[in-house]
Order: sequence, then C-alpha cells, then structure tokens
Amino acid sequence: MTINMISEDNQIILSLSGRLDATNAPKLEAELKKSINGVEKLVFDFKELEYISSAGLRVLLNSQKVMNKQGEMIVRNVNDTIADVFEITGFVDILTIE
Amino acid sequence: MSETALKRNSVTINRKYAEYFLPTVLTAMATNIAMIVDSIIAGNILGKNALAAINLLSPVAQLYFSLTILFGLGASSVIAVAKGKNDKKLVNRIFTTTFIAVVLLCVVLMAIQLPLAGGICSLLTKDKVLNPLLYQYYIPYIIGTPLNLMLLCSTYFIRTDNRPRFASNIIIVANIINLIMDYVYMGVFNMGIAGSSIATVTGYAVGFVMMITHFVSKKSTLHFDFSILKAPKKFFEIFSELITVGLSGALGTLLITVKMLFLNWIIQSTGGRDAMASYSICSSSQIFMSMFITGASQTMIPIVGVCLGEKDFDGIRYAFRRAFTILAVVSVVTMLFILVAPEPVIRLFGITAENDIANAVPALRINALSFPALAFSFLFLYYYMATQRKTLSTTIAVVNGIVILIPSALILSVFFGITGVWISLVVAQVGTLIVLYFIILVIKRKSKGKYDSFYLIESNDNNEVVSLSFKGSKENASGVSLYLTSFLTSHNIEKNVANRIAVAVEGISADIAERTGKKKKADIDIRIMIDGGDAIISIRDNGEPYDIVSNDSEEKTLSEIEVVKAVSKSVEYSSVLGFNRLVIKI
Repeated sequence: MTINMISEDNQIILSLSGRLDATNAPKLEAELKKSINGVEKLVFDFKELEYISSAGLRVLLNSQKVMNKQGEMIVRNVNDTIADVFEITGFVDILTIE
Repeated sequence: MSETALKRNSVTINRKYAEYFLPTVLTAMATNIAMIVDSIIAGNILGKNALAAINLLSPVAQLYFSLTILFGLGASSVIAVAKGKNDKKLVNRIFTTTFIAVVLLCVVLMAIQLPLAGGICSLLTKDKVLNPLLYQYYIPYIIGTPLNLMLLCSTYFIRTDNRPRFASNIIIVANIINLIMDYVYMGVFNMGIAGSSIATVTGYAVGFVMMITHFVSKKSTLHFDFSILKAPKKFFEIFSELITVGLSGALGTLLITVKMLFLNWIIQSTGGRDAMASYSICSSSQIFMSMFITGASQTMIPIVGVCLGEKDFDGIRYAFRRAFTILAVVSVVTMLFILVAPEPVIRLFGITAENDIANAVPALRINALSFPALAFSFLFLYYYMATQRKTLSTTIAVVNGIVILIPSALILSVFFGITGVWISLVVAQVGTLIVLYFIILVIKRKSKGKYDSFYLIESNDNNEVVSLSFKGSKENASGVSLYLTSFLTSHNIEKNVANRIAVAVEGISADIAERTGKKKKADIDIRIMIDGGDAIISIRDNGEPYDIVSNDSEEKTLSEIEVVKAVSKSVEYSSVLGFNRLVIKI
C-alpha cells in the first residue's frame, strides 16, 4: 500500500492505493498519529484502494473518533467492494462517504 | 508469502498425531498389563499355582477388554465424527447413551457371573487345586466389573476430549496402585490370591476417581443429556450405531483369543511341547508389534473421525499416511531384526539349549515375515472403523482372525508339518490384504467413479473451492487474503462475496497471530466451500484453545470478530481435539 499525503492549512488529504490490510494498517495509523493533531478536515481518497480489512476499518474508526472532536472526516471515491464492506459493517452510518 | 505455501499441508494433522501417539501407545500397553502384573507378582509371592490360576481367567479378561473396545472405542469414534460436525447435542447424547449402556452391561455381567462363578471356574479348569484358587481370584474380579469397564471405556472418551496424556496417566496410575497393593494385600495382609484381584480393583478405583475429575472439570466437553431417555427411538439408534462401529475392533480383539486357542491346539498336536515354546516367543513378538499397531491405529481414529465429520478429506488422508508410515517403519525394522538375528530374541526368553534354539529360529523368522501385513491389516481395520465402513472393517476382523488362518493351518500342517503352521501365520495376514484388495476393487467399481482409491472417501468435497495451510502471522494473514481475493474471483465467486471471505479470513488469521505471539506461531488450515447460495469458511488452528466468538475483546475499538460477525451470516466456534475451529457462513 502506498500513502500519498497532501497537507494544506488545517486540512489533510490522504490518497491510499493498494490494500489496507493487517500488515499495512499500522503504517497508516502511525502516519495519522504524526499528522492529525490540530487538523480540522481529514479526507481519505480511496480511488486507488482495492481492499480494506478489519485492521483498516479500525484505523478509520479511530480517526473518525478523533475528527469528531476536532473537525470533520470524509472518505471519497470508494469502490464497490469496499462500499459493500462499509455497508454491511454499518460504517456507512459512521463515516461521511462521498 | 510464497506461492508454494498457499496449499494445504499436513502440519496440523501431523502435530496432533504426534501429540496423541505416545500416550495412546502407553495406554494400549498399560491396559493389557494389569493381569500380567498380577500373575508375575502372585507367582513370586504365592507360587506357580497362583500364576496358573490367574492366567486361566484370560478368556474372561479378553472378553471384558473386547467390551471396552466395543463401547469405548465404538462410541468415541462416533463422538469424534459428531464433534467434527459441531453437533454438541449429539455428542452429549452419544456419551449419555454409552454411559447408560455400560452401566446396564455391568449389572448384567455381575448378575450372570456372581451366581454362576463356580460353574464358570469349572469350565475354565477341572484341576482340583487350581479351581478354588481361580474362584478366589474371580469373585473380586466380578465385583470390580463396573470400575473395570467404566474406567477403560472412559479412557477412549478422555482421549477424544483432547486429553490423551491424562487418559494414559489414569491407566498407568491404576497399574502402579495395583502393583503396590499386590504386595500389600498378598505379602503384608496374607490375603492369598484374592488379594491380587482386590489389588487390581483398588487400582481401578483410584483410576475411577481420576476419571471423574476429568468429567466434572471445565476441560470436559462431554456432558450428560438424559433427555435421550425420553426419546427411546433415538437412544436405540445411537446405541446401534456405536455397537456396529465398535464391533470390528472388538471382534478383532476377541478373535485373537480364538486364534490363540486354535493355534495352541494345532501346534501342540503337530509339533508338541517344543513347538509350543517356539510359539510363545512368536506370540510375544506379536504382542510387541500389537503395541505399535494399536497405538498407531487408535491415534488415527479420533483424528480421522473429526475430519470425516468436517468433510476434511485431505485431513483423513494425512492421518492415515502418518499411521501407515509409522507402522511400515516399525514392522519392517522388527521383521528385519528378527530375520537377521533371531537367536538373541530366543535367548531373551530363557531358551538356551541349542536344539530348542534351532527349532525356534525358523518359527520366529517365518512369523516375522507376517509383521508388515499384520500391521497393515489392523491399520485398515481401524481406518474403516473410523470412517464408519462397518461391514468392511468387520469383514477384515473375521477374515484376519479365523477365515484364512484356520483352513490354511490345517492344510499346510498336513504337507509341511509344524513349518506349515508357521507359514499359515503369514498366509493369514497376506491373504487378508489380498481379500481386502479385491473387496476395495469391487466397491470402487460399484461407486462409478465416486471413490478413486482405497481410502474410499470422495477424492474431494465437491463443494470445496480452496483449501490451504499457513503459519499464523499478520504478514501471512494479509498474503492469504490477497491470494483469496484473486483466486475466488477467478473461480466465478461474486466479487463482493470473495472480498467478504478475504476480510473474514484475514481478520481471524490476524487475531490468531496476535494471540499466539511471535515465538510459537500457530498452524492454520483454511477450507472454503460453496453450499447452495452460501460460502462456508472453515478455519482450524492449533493455538491455545480460545473461543473468539464468546470472548469478544473489549480492548479494541473494533475487534476482528465484530467485523467478521458483520460480514457473515453466522459464526460458530468449537474446540475439537484441542483445535480451535470456526465455521463462518457468508
């Protein structure tokens, strides 16, 4: 998985590509820990993301919890299979998906 | 993760086999040893008449032993299959049915034998000195029937309940107590030959208490379900099932006695006392082989039973191959050793006269030639018993026990004298395998392609899409999910379903990796089946027993099992033979 981060003012856009799985999720988590402080808008761009595992979902949920306190979080360009996972796990009700 | 690792392998099955093997061999040895211990000690303390009297009860002891195989091994085989199907209610019902049946059997055996003990002793010996000694030994033996049968039956259950070492410890402790109490009762209290029998019963009583500690502990997965008594039809169905499954093993054991009685007669009449001495050595070497045959075969039974219940046909083949390899090595090595150096073996039995050794050498050598076939005949007998091919396993027991041996010994002894009798021992074993070969051929032909080998199981579960094994690590969990996503979509599984399967498999595998740590990674077997409109994932691991479904971690924001439950229709956990098993329906 590759993470491409664009940081601008109080906004971060994270473009992920590949697979957000048990091996890669800690990498994303560490990246977020470093840069999420003070951020008011966090955007995940999943255009190139093929797969998300439970470990990946956990990172999203934790990020959402943080962003609920300090701003907003948006998930963009979700493919059909990931959308299906969001749907059946109830993440559609938790996340803001565009 | 390498491509070669994404195949099913035999690691989990072989490790389970290794865990069960030694305790099973020890149990097999110790189970038979009580009477030998009694006779040795009684012979030393009370003299040769006591030794002879105890040995006279061998047919009764053999009958009891056969009954424990009938009920204990029969029921535990059926329980293993039910456990593989994760049918806990059926497991408890089989356990309860067996318990009730064994209690009734004990009552019947005691009710018949106690009033008829004198008559039975007279049938076993007409000798006026031995008869009263036998009677004194026999009465405590009858009274100890419930302890004897229930204890020996329960060791099979405890082994199937994933405590093979505890099962063997029970039997070993019972025998040690027997040995100590033999000296106490006969030596200190001067209780005579009855003391020997009471010592055996005392040993069983201690074993019985140990056995109860298992069934009342949390480790036991077997519980009483007396609701079976309200369903008499089901009770008799289960009863008949366990009897028919256990019959071949029991018959195999019982026919060994018949075979020995017949051989005693024909060898005495053909070769006289010298030939009998040679036969005693042949018998002892066969007992040595039997230890391994019983150990290797009975280790296989619960594993094969569980795999059969799970429809894990690869697992069945792995367990059989492991037992086959062990028996091939042991039987061939023992055979070669006896062929090359029979004399040291003969001298071990106290035979030193050159003439006696010369007589015994050909007997021992010819008999040794039968070892590989003997081992494989019994392996097949127990294999077909475990796979519930009752008629076939019973046929092997009968063919091996008497059908070939008796006529071949009678005919060959006419032409070759005592050598003919020794040859018949080989003919009986090789003949059994030849008969079995033709029976299997017929079954395979009649199956019209359903069976393609002697395993007589479908070459694979028709519903199985993929089966693979790997070490439990997070990297492998991710690798497997990647593999599954691409493999399943390329095998016409809908993309979303394939993705859900990958998410579930990765989640559970990562959780196993996290629990088992880095030092000792668990081995994981995964099978994916399509059944109607559902995808079924079977995940088995040999890590520490852990019910992930009930023990949902509260430490994590979102646990693996929460996600798996969300992406699936149902998730069921069971602990079978110490494996953690999850069945996930998507």
